[in-house]
Amino acid sequence: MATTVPLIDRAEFLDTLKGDLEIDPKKTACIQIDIHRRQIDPRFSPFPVDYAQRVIAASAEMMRMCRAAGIPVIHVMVYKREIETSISPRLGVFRRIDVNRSPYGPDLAYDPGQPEGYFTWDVMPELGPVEGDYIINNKKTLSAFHHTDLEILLKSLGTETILLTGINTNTCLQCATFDAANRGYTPVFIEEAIGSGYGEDLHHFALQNVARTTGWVLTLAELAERLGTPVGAKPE
Amino acid sequence: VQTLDIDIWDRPDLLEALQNAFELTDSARMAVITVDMSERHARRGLPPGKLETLLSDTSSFLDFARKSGIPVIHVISALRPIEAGYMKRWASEERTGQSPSPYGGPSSEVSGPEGAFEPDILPGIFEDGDYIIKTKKTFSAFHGTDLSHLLLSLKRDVTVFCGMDTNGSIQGTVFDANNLGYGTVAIADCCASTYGDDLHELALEQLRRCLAWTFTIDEFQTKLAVKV
Repeated sequence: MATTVPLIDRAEFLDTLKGDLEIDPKKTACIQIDIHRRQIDPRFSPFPVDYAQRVIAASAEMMRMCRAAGIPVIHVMVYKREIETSISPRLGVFRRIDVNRSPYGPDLAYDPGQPEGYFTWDVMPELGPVEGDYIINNKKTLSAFHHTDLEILLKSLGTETILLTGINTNTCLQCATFDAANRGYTPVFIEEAIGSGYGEDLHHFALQNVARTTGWVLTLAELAERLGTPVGAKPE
Repeated sequence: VQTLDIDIWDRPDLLEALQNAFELTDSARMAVITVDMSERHARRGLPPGKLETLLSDTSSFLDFARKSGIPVIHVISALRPIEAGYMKRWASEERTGQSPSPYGGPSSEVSGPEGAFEPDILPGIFEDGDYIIKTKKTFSAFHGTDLSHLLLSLKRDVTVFCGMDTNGSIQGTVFDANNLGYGTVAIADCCASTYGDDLHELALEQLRRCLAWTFTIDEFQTKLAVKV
């Protein structure tokens, strides 16, 4: 039977910490995680279409603001060899049980199909990639950091603060906040540009948890205010 | 960020299928890992009565694990003063005088003296023969510690978690355990959160649906292949 969890009101705590957050565009990167065809395109994913369109539109808006402010955009996406698909027993189990992992429906098969070493990207076209963006196309796990070159890229860029967009809020996005915090970065969720195919309960849990535990959560409007960069402005 | 109540989505078919698919029942592959079961961490506060039940349940579970031949590893945080600002979020809480705990306790885990910090594991949790790692600095018991090396030495690849905080370092460590290829189990009765009982309950739902086989002590005991 479904239960309700009443949230503890920590508004004052959250407002205080939000006021302490500084974003220096020169030391900031925008990381987009898993908004690619296999995860969100309705032909291959159970992610609800309207929901997906809202997240993609917000993500595109966020990226336009970041690019205009001179903040690099990094697209991170999953690509596993078949032999790598069940390395974690817990994640591998979803391939064995006959119940959908997502409450919205079954995952549909889609193999990008390139031979070993030739996969490029399948980012949703609304997001680019545009010239100057970076691509990390070998994410294997829930983590954008583990077994990828993301940290080396971030250090090369001089990044201290990470603005996050993508799916899914409670898994790979929340994992990214843990990974980033553990590595000394400042992780920030952009609320409208994040969504979850695991259910709105776990989506709202992750937003609440990041705000109260691992990082910060800003709206698009709050990000625009902090960057001082109107949508569509050109980088200096 | 939502400030209202959160209705848990009813997914009994998924949860039942996941629990039934648990095959990591060989105790010879398991290690129990307690996270931040320290005096310093507990001072941040828990809901009334929670610390007492956490200690009682965890003590009982650890006894069972030891009798089953499962090694017990205690991982606790200890920061040098110079490391206090490493985690940006914690530094912000310190700078603004805010505690992440709604129960009002202090948040600092700074400890000393250098090289000679004595573990302050909560009463009834440690026994001779257990292992202690006292270099945790982040939300992960793996990151920057020798936990992976110890598990490799013990030849254990199924990690069973207890401790604090369900939504913080338990969840953070379970993420890493999955990403490193370990089997993941959480014992619900033996977890708690100084961040709030709401985040504890929601994190348990997150663990059981997405990240770890999450059992009560009784459920876990019936799953083990070898009975004590």
